[in-house]
Amino acid sequence: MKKITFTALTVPLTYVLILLLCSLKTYAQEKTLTLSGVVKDVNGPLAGVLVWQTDTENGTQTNELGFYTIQIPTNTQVTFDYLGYKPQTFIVKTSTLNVTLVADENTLDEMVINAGYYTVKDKERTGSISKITAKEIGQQPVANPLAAMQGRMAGVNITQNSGVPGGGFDIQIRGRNSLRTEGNAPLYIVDGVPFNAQPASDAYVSSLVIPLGNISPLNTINPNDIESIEILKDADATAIYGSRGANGVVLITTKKGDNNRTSIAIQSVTSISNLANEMKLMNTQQYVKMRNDAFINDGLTPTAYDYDVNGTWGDKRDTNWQKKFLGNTAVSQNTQFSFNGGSGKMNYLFSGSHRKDETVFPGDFGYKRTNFFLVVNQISKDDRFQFQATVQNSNQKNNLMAYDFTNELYLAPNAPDLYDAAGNLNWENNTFENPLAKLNAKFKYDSQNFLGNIMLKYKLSNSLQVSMSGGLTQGQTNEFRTAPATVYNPAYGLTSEYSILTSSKSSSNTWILEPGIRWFQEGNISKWDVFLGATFEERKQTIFRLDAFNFTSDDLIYNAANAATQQILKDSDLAYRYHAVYARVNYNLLDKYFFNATARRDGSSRFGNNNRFANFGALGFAWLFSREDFLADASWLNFGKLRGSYGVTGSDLIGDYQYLNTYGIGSYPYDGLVGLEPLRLYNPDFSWETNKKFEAALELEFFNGRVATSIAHYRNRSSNQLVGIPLPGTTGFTSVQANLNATVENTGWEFTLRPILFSTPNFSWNLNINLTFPKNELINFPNLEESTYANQFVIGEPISIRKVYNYLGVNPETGLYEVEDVNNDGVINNSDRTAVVKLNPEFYGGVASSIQYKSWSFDFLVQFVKQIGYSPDYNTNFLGSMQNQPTELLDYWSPENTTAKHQLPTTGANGAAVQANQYYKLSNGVFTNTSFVRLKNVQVAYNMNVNKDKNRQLKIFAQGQNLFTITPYKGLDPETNGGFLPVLRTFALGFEFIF
Amino acid sequence: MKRLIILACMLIGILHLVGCEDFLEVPAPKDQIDIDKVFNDDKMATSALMQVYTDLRNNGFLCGSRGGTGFLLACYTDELEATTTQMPDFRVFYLGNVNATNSGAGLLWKNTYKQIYMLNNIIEGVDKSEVISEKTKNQLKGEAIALRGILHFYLTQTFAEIPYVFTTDFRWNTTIGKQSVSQVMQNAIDDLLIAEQLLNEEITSFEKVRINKYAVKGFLARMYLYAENWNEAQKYALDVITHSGTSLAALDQVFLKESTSTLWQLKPDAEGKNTYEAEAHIFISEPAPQAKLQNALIASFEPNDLRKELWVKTVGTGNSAHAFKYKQRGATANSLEYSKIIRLEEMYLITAEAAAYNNDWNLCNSMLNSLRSRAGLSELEILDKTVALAKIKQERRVELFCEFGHRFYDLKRYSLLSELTLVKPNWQNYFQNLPIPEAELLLNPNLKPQNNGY
Repeated sequence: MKKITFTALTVPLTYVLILLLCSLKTYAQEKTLTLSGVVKDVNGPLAGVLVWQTDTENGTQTNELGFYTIQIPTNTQVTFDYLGYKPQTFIVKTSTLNVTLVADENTLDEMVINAGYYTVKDKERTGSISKITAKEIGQQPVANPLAAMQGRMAGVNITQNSGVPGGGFDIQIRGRNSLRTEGNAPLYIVDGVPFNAQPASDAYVSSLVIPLGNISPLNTINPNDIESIEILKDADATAIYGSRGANGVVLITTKKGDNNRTSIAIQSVTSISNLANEMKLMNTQQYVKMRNDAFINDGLTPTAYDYDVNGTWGDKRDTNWQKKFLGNTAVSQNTQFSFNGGSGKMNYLFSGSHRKDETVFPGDFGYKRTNFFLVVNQISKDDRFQFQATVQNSNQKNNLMAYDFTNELYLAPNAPDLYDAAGNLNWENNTFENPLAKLNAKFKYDSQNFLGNIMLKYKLSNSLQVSMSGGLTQGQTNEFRTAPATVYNPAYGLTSEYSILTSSKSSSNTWILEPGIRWFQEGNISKWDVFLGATFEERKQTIFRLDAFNFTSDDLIYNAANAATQQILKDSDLAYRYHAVYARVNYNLLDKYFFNATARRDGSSRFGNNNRFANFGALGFAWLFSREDFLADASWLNFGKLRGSYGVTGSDLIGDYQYLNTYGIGSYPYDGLVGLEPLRLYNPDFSWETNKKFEAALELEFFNGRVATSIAHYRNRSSNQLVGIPLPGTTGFTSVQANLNATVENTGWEFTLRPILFSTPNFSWNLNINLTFPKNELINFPNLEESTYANQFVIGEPISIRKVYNYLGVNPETGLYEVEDVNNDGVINNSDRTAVVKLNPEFYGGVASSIQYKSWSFDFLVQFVKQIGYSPDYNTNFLGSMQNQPTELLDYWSPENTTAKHQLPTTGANGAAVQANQYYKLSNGVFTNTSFVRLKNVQVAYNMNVNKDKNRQLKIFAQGQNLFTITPYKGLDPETNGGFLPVLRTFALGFEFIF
Repeated sequence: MKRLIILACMLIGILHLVGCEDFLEVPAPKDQIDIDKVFNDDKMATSALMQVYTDLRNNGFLCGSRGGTGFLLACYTDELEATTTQMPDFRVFYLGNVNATNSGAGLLWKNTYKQIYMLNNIIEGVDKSEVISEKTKNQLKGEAIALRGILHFYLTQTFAEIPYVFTTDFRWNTTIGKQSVSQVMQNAIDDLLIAEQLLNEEITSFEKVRINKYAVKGFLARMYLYAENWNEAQKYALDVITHSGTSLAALDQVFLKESTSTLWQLKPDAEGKNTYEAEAHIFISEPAPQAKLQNALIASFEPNDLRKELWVKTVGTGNSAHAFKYKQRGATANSLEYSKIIRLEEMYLITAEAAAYNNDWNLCNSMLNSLRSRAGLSELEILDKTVALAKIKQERRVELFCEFGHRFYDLKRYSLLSELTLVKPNWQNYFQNLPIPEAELLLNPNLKPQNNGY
């Protein structure tokens, strides 16, 4: 772990030290000698160790063999220092001095955290920031950085939406603040450049295979290019991002080059993934009996169309459709090549990678990604001017079917074979809608993304620095969804005249420019660090979507020009601009008391002229009480800090142009004219959402840093909610945009614990445990009962609830599901929906373990969540319809089984049963415990130093992802909990060779 | 000290940037137009109305697809049998399981009020505009007011008591209350009478794909008939028959886009496309994948009725048949068929019915016989009101089947919906009105109470 982080940390630290040295006076000395030697640690030579004449600027660094030479006067002192090791000082007497540095267990003391516009020593920070590094990211065979974060951070809840490659994630940092789902996205910053958090896809085209069309924008980033991911959580940390940071900030910092060595690294990982768990569904015998019972219950006999029970399909076959539709093994291949070098005041890193993922669906589908990444750092000869440039490019191609096949598993188990004897799709004499025909409907996704940024810093004097950071992102996405006539039963006689192509082309261009000035002054008792900055940001997006029908031939279906009819469904652009000025003042008194104040004025183009600007700010403090005299002798306590923060931020996540009173262009022409339609109800007066955050935390380290722990409590209140207030249909629209005087509160406790169980040169074992108890509550909502939200929210309950009927069970006499008629008016309707089901997790967390034995390392991560979700039968039709069901539903009512858990089957003719089923689906009876404990990740790695040369390494590793899940949930997967492909189980094998 | 001065200068420099408010001015997107501009231009204002026609064709009562009344109410009554094993709205209608959360009924409600909003927006925009020519103003306003009346007419016939929405003001419309059926009918008729005045004889759209003066008169005839005002019904129907320039079309011509009997039709969204009706009804092999004609309907045709031969198609072994009024299921080089919203044949039936109530047997018989002879049936000589009304009911059934709920609305106004128990044993009297969508009742308690039975 240390070695990787050092690469990134040495660079700035070197600068700091060099600057420090430059500012000191040079003493002329009489006698000098050439001192040389090798610096090692227990594993071998150390490169980049700073060697300098104590208290002077005369210094050098060790080379890649750990060797150094320095001209130094005799009888002076020489110091050896390397981050993470205890510095050592010797008096120079001989010309050879070999040094073995010893790792410093208190390295965390010097761990530097990226807080966005500034960095801060971990121990001195006033804000709440969680971090993972390249080490944790690298040990997981995942394609998306968010997947690597799951379970590793307190206060950060990440859910994967789908196991389809290229899919998306939900991320919530300290809960939902906004009543609008889309108002809860965090801010993503990649190397200082904001990253559009919206899904990188047109849901109109993709949502049938990717849930909600949520294709994660972070798919463009190769996790292996990331040095660290920091999550800023509280007001103090996020305030400098103002309104953009209201839902937390995800800071992604890419890897940097190394000044001191040139190396080439090659990494290759091959993995296989498959469905980790199958659902238990009825077999043919059970299914046919259930269906026949349905007919008996309805007093009917199977009609000519009930092929499953009228003998047409017979009852010989008993197919597990999960094996047929989701049973393939997906092979993934990830190869990366990187070139790293530098010398003196310049370094660079180039990396290129290619990733290929298959799917578990039948057919030849898959995802490909190619990434290029280059970063260059330079510092001028006089150390005043610093320059950094990063360029990232990614190219993604996703080739999928247009529909997720997961819901096809409810096909009747005695349904006919998919293929006939001749190998063609089997339609069983038109009695069978063959699901495989849907494979002819394709979804293609093709996306190119570019991100570039530069950072310039110039030191005007020892205490004044100006900086300019600029970045831009460009993205182009092409998506296609086809529905050729071959998706239908040929009996319909449809030809390519009926084929449809839907395609969408979108682009996104953003730029950001951030000038800043930093003034810092260090005195004996206090340090000041003041930063003033401004942000100019623009985002432009375009989208062009069309439908094409009536093709000459399906072979040309991707070419809209081949269609007789084309319709432009959307041709639009949007522009968003954001502007802010901000100041941060950091004051450090006696290295014990830290104060951090942030103030900011934000402007957003999303509001009408009178509401564009708003002021936000935050205050944070930290008290390192372990540095107080009264604890100086407490050997058991190495470190103790109390910190707290309070601040106000806002949010403008409401979509663009909502304050305009405009007509939009309709999709279709009529009688020679393209239509114009009113877009929304006019209300120009809405303004910023307000978010007040409070946090208090205690951080402690005991027994020479062997045990480190932290406890944090937060309370965030979000008010003046920006919502589309629902309206009855008689208004012509379903909602109007407005500020609602409602308050949502998120409170919670976050715990982390990092015990080092063993720490010897040959064997070490440490754990990293995090645990979060989040609580979400709607604390204020004027006139909720009369409002349009009466059926959605309850004061005092979380905002992610469902108001449902109270389920009473199956009536032993009627055999039907029964829900409570709460107001006893004899009618079951919405006023009886008073039961509350809380869908937010009760607690979640993770246990990460890292064991090192000589050259072996063994890491694992266990993730756990306690929560409630929909039970599997939520996704199925009523019992008795021509659709298979989970085996739990076998316990259905019959005259012999009047205490059954589920109601009697019906073919649909029993209206009361169909109705009862609908009530059941809207009741608390359909929810179940979806908590889980999951062995999220395991890695075993062997590190081989070739020829004892530290710069030639071969690392071989085996990894596993989502290996094992313990859950009471009976469906496919408690995390995805629904009708989409669950997260897959992955085994990976790979190597990394550095030379 | 010098440094502090530098710092102060920098601070002032940065704060200066606060003045960059202009930076936040973003251009309007290219697919949005300010509302004032729309109604300051004849063509753009007309475009706003064209969008309503597009919406009428795609959503709500007058949509020809399986979500429109042509299909839903055909399944609800004795015209179509839902054969799918899935549970789409039309099967729920077929099974008689429509409840207050049914999405089909909910969409009819929501989409129709959206259309009414669009119409009110045009009426208000045109009224305010000082730029649009008088001629265009009258034309647009006439069409919009007529459509507003027609949509409320359909709403009240389907949901009984409903709000009549005259404004775009959402603050008012959020808490609007219901009106009685007769009040809604009166308001609708008033709207159509205003439209009748505003629209001139000249037909703006030669294909009659926009509502026109005679289509308005046709709807007035229908509404007066439903309101049992026989004299006005007969007057308007005869006016259309004699002055509209239309004539009865041969059976195989009725649903073509150039049919001579068309009063108002909706055209597809692109040249070469045909109707949603054809897509919804036609299937080419047994078993019927979605729905087929009920035997009761097929049996109701008199022997040798050419309409059965030309408008009903039997598939496969003869147990499955579909409506074949519209024959072009897919695309053709040029569009051949448009969706008929109102046609001349209905005017004959209205005149006949009104004449029967007025005991005008000559008129009644001549109207019925015009339709019958065209269908190859023998002429009638009716002299009795009961016989006449039964015959008219039968004629309406076979002439207008699967067309926008005629069968349902006819049985409802005759108070004969209970006849449906013959084919639907679970038919309940309260099925005569669809339930007001539960979500609407929640959002606007002034819409309470829910219709009886739901």
